[in-house]
This record gives sequence, structure tokens and C-alpha cells, in this order.
Amino acid sequence: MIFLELREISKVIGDKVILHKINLEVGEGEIISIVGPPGSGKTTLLKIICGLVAPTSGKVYLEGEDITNLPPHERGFSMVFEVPPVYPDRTGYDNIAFPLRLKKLGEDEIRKRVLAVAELLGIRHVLHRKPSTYSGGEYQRVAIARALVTQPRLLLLDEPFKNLDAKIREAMVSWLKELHKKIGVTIIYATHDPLEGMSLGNKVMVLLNGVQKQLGSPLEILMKPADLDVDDFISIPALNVVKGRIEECSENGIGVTFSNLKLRIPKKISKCELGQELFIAFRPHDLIINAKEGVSVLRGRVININYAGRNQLVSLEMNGLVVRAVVSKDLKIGIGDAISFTLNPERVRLYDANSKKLLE
Amino acid sequence: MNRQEAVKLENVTKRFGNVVAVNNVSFEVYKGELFSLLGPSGCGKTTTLRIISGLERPDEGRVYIEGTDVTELPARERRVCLVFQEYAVFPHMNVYENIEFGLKVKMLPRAERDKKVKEVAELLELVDYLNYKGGRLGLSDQQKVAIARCLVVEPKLLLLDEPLTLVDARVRERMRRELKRIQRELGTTMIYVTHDQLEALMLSDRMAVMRNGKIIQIGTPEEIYDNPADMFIATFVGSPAMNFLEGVLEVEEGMLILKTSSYKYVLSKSIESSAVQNLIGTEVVIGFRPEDAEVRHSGEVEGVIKLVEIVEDRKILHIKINEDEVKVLADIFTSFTEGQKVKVWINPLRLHIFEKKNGKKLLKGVVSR
Repeated sequence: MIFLELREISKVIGDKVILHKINLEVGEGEIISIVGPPGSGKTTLLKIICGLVAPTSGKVYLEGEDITNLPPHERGFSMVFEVPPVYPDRTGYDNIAFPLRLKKLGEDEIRKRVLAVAELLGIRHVLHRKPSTYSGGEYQRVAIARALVTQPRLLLLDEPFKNLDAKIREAMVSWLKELHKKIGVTIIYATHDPLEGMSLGNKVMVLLNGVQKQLGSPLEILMKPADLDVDDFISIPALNVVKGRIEECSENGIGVTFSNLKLRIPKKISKCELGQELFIAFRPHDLIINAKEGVSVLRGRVININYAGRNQLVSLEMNGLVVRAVVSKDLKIGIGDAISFTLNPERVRLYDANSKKLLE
Repeated sequence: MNRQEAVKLENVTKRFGNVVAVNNVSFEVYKGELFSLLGPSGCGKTTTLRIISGLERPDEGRVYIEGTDVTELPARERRVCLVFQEYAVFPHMNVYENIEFGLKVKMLPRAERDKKVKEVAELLELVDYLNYKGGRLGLSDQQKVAIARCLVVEPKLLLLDEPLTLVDARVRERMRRELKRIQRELGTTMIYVTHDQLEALMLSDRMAVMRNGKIIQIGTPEEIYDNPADMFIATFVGSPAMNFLEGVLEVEEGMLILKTSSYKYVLSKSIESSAVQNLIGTEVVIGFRPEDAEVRHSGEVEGVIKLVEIVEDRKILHIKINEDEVKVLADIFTSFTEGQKVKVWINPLRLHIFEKKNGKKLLKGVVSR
């Protein structure tokens, strides 16, 4: 059964379209990531779901019931923001107990619930302390504890780990995933970082300029981005995109040329037309360095190297084009070196030059 | 190699009340180098940078810039320029005026100012934005303007304090590449403070890892990543973090074995290295990076996949081996599922052996090449 449903949700402020016809179905216990750059409408969408903002058009359903006009406190959802308002003059215990006191629960019940949630989130040690003594991760966990203590049916998280140190952010994402496994609460998680979103969500919505570009499993989105904009947004390190044209259509695949270079891709597309212009896109991970001689071996010169631990990010210049490659840390290379490479044909994607849609 | 010294810190200590923010820190930065100070929040890296810039005075120790003792010299006379985490671009001035600002202060003639502003704008790819007001720029471009404003006055040293922390993930990735290119093209000496290990690895010629006010390792990114001096650095640098297994080293039938509380793991079929023999019977922690292990059909240790994560182009398998949990990287096209039983192989050449009682590195790799 569908737990939460968004049907054709739009939000327009003045003449600016913030959100355009968003559709989403969420099953109970799912964890959905909404990924998009700053200003793409993620926060507005979360606020519409929890009732803080009314949509211009469209409906929100909870278990089949229209809740579009239901005030936030009657929805039974909790939301945690990027900088959650944790009260600095109150202890962790009082901060977490706050929403229960608003509900006028008995102190015994409050105590039981606060201790249980603190245990679950691993923050019993901060219950008697005030927020100024917390680390970033503890602060954020107290905020999440306060959101969970009311036993919400849906937890909305808006970039909750954005301000944490990189290493702590990683740990918090893993922590949240494990927490979700344990308690099974339905979560909608908004982030500007596509890698974080794909690592966390069992389903991911890509939101660009208020438009829902794609909704699918992380693997579907990685392997079959709906269009070039999605591919470009989700690729870190940045996607390589070159403009080319089709020179050959055959049973075995297609031949494309770009910048005086030829590439054969052993893959079929439904409409192959000679001379058709397209974008050829491939991620830095999908270049194969020091390729043996063959039809599609390309040559470039190393112009930049960023060592990155388990691998290195290399910029290559060829015929005036710059492409980036992620290569093994064991490859010994230097700036100015000539390098031959080929593209993993399975992972080259072609997009229509006009519509930017994926050609399949 | 004849390297000229750009900056030297000698036994620098800085206290704030009872807190020792910087504790007896010494290091050198060479001319034309990008040197990073990496560490978690509160480790003293920013205070160290502020001491170099002259914004803080050390309680003990000396600071030298190009061989001159500048410990007593005020900040404005040091010819260093600082870029902060927060954007310090004048919103009402356009990009040209922002970059020109420092040159006007120096009372340079107009023609010379114009030449310099345009050179720097070219290098940072800001030419198209020269007429834009500072406040209209995106965050990453504002930060570029802040860097341009520093570079145009040709400082002896450019100091950067977490300049990319506030920009979003994708822009940060692009800026890392650009900063590295700019630094190489200009050859300006830069000291870069960050909590982001990947940023330090990607940008630095050399880097120092700091913890609790002290420098705990200095080296090239490769040295730090491949040979971390202790378990803290091994955990802090690298993502996903290094795996650890605790146990005692033993020899059985000529094979090197790690005996943990619940199982035995053959680390190597042979023990050629005498360094290993000295460690037999020692309580150790074995460390290995997720990319230095593989899931195979046959192997020494059996485990169960607890979680499959996708990161960049790889899958991260969280594997439970008795009481331990380790992370192993796998290709994204593999079809591993949660609950599946698998065997784990660890590359013996890439093993790190730490002493259990203090976390210090004892040995790297157990098989001679």
C-alpha cells in the first residue's frame, strides 16, 4: 500500500515556478533521497509534505487520505533542518523532552521515551549537558532525537549533516542508515550532494530547477540517467561531455566522431541516423588508461593530476579537448606524459543534441 | 634537491587560558609548494595559520618567512594574504574593483593596476565577470574573487582557511582541480587549512596531519595515505576508512596468522621478512583499506554481507566476520546482496600492522616483493 503520495504538486510564487508537477509514491519504511543543487526546490517540497507551505496546485495523500489542507501538527510528521533550533539554555534531556511536554504527556512517560530514543541514537551521555558542549555530530543527533521522540510516521530531513566535518558527515550517513534499519521509520532526505543521496536512499528523486527529472533506484539513475542534465548533476568528479555526430550505423553498433576522433560503440540505439548530432558522455571512472592498440584508442597528454588516495584524478588534453579520468593510485604518471586510453563502451552514454534525452 | 624555504615554524606554542591550542609545532614549507594542514575541528590548524599570518602571536617559538624572523612583525608587514571560509568580497563593488582594491591601497599607477587585474582575472577565468557586482556572484565565484584579490598583490604567501567548505559538493570538486592548476601555473607558495582529507590529498604537494594541537605526521599525500603513522591517521585519511582487526600474530606451519578472539586468519603463506618475526606473539591491530581487499569465491575468512552501499562508481560491502565488521570495495556491476555469505581476501602487501596498546604503526606489508 502507498503510504505517502504526492500528486502533481506545483508551487508558484509570483511568476517564479518553484516546483513543477512533482509526483512521488512512498511506501512505508522506505528511505527516499531528494537530490538537487541549491535552489532546486528541495526544501519547499519538504515543507509542502509536512504542511509548512501550501502547494499552489496538487495534492498530498497519506494512506489514501487527502491531507493537503491538514495543518502540520495534525499530520504527525517531524522535520529536521540544516541548522536545527536546539535550545542552548536547556540540557539534552529537556531539548528532547520538549515536544512531549507540549503534548502534555506525564513526566514518567516522557522520561521513558526520552531515555529510549537517547539509547537508540547513542546520545545518553549528552542528556545532562547543554548544547554548547556538543560536537557537531552530537548536536545533530539531539535534533534527530527530538524529531523521533514523538514517534512520527514520517521523518523529513533537510541537509541535516551539511555543516559537519567531511569525515563526521560520512559517519553520520552510515549511522542514519543503520538507525533506519533498526526502527524502520519512513524517511525523506534532501541533499545537494548526489553521492550522499544515492548512498542513503533506496529511491532517489533528482530535482533540477523545480522539475522532477528522474525517480528511481540509485543504480538506475547512475546507469540510465534520463537526460544529460541528470547525468551531469550526479557525476562527481565532473562528467566528460563532448559534442559529436554519428558516422556509422551497423549491426554491431554505431560509430561516432568528435573533434577529429573516432569511437565505435558496440551498442544499438532505436533510431540511428547518419550525421545525427549528439552529446557523448562518459564519467571519469570509465576511461581505460594505457589501452592496447585498437580502433578506439585515443591519445592525450596529462595536464593536471589530483591524487585522491585510492585513485587519482587526471586531466588529459587531446585535440584541444580536455577530459578527466580517474585512474588507479598505482599508475605512475606525471604532467606532460602522453597517455593512450579508450572508453568503456558499456558505459558511454549518448544524448540527443537538442532534447538532451538519453538515446537508447 | 635544493629547495628554498618559504616558511619555517620553530617550536611554536599558543595557549588560550588553560587550553594549549598549538603545542610545540615545527615545520617548513618550501617555495612554490602547496602545503596543507589537515585535522578535525579544534586540532589547532586554524590557529597555526593565524600565527603565520600575524593575526595571532605565539606564546613560544619563532616564525620565519623566507629566512627572516617575523615573529614580532605585524600582519600587514609580512606580505601574506589570507582567504577565509566566509566570503569577503565587497558586494557593492564589481569584480574588477574588488581585485583592484589591494593595488589601489598600494597606490600603484592606473595602467599597471589594469594590467595586473586583467592577468589575474584571466588566470582565474573571471574575465567575463569583471563588470558583475560582487554580491551577484555565486559562492564559488566569490571565493575565486577573494583568491584573485590576494594573488594580484603578489604575496610571498597565500594562506587559505577552509575556502571551499561552504560551496556545494559539485562545485567543490571543480574548485579543487582549478586551485591545483592555478597554484602550479603561478608557483605561489600556499598553506591550506582543511578538515576534508580528500581535499588535502588532492591539492597538496606535502601535508601535515594535526591532532590536539600537535603535528602527528608530515609527508606527501601518497606517504600519508600509503603509510599512516598511527591508527588515528589511518582512520582519518581515506574513505571509506581503513578496516581494523585485533589479535595476536602467530606462526603456524610457516604461515603468518592473526589469531583473534574468535577465529584465525592467514595473513601470509610465508614469513620471509625478519621484521615480522620480531612481532610474533605481539598484540596487534591489523589494518587494511577497503580497496586492498576482495570478496572471492575461495578465501581464508568467511563473512556475511550486512549492507551494500553505492559510492561513486563502486559498491561498498559491509561484511560481518564473527565479531568484526569490515568494508570491502567491489565493482558496481556485481550482484552481491545483503545476507549473502562470502569469503574475504586481503592483499598481504598492503597490510598495516599497528601496536594495540598505543596505535602506532609497526610495519607495512608482510610479504617481501
